[in-house]
Amino acid sequence: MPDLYFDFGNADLKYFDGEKSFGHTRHAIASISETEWKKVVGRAKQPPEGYIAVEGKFFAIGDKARRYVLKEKPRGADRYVQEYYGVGMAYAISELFDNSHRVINLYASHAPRDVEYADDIKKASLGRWRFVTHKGEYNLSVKSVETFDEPLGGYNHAVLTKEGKALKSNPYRKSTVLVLDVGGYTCDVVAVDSGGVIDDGSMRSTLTGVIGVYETFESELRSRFRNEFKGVGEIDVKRLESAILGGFYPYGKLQLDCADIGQDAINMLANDVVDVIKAAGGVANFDIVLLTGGGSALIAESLREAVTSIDFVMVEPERDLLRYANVFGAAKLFTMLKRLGVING
Amino acid sequence: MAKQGISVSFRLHPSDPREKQAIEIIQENIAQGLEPRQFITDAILRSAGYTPEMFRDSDAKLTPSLLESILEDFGKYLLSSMRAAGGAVSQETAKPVEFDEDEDAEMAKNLAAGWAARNGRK
Repeated sequence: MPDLYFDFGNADLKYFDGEKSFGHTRHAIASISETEWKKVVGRAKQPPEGYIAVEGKFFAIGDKARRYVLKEKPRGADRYVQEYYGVGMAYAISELFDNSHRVINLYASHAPRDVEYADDIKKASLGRWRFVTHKGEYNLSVKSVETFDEPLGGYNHAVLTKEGKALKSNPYRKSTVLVLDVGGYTCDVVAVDSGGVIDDGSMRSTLTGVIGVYETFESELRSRFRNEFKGVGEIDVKRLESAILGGFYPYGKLQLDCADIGQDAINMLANDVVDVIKAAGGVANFDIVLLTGGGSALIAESLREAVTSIDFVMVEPERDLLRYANVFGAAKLFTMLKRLGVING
Repeated sequence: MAKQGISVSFRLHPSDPREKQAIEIIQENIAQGLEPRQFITDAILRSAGYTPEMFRDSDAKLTPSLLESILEDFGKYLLSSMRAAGGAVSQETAKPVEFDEDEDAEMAKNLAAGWAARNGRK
């Protein structure tokens, strides 16, 4: 029975099958009319990539959703309804699995502050799902749902093996660790004491994240190059991300120099995260800070410069994969929980 | 020591920087067509201060008992190095030692308990 490890983030939806397939889709879901649906599907049997019909309702998702009027994106626990969460989950299923499967197990993440809404995730996802995507028609049941705190997904990625065993050679075994999960709108923290003892009371979510970096950067970019961006509508977030990291915005044949404003935007988030570390007890209370979540990759260097008295280590050494660290770690965690008989395998 | 020879078997793990380097050297040697038995024996002899020239020299009088003694010394050195690095060591030379699969049971128990507490499970 296939497993779906799913992180419905504020910036991206991340998904992993627990073995080798993983991917992400930008968090944007637009409800579209049947007329619009028919227009994009045409005479084809199924829609193009980026469209999904779920139980007679029609949606554009990810980058394709940007062509339509997007209502304000629900944030946090407001996402946990069938018409929203379920649509994202269904799309993730079709991205990972073919339509031959009849039953799926879901392992879903949430920010620590949303733990009290974990049941809403279950209600939004359990049961029968019929949907159509570019991969074909699906008719399956989500049979079981387990949830996990996102920063703990990251921690488990660092300390467990793929077989779900706690590494004896784990370098953080005797350390008091602060795990920082920097996402789209939130920065979540959890302290883990020596031996993997989770300090439940330390879990916090603070409203800051990479989406603020993109917004600040875009605003400054438009201000500096007001002639170039006159009349330019929405800018693709992928181009913004690339410009922040590369220091240049590709504008036709030109390269607009924006390295300084990109760094300023990153520093603003890094400063917020430094405050989060202070609120968690400060560096005096920890041996190491583990970074997880896609936003961490963006600010890791700035954090190291800002706080030199402690090491910041990314739980996933490959920067491009850091956004998946929480779902990778969840796969390891639930493999371990099954092996130990804590949950049914 | 067994009269018919001994079996040396252990697993090098890439998570240890020194062992990772050793793996790379072994792979390079194999890629060059060298036999593992040949270059590992050579390395053992070098660790005991013998050069290849001495080994080939008929006057060196490297008897089977001397080789056995060298291997014993090397085995002790290997065991103490592994212990110093915090790795697991098996005395049964034929049984591979796999560092990462040797679980920290207490940590596994704590992580499971942490998840269970957050999710209302016992």
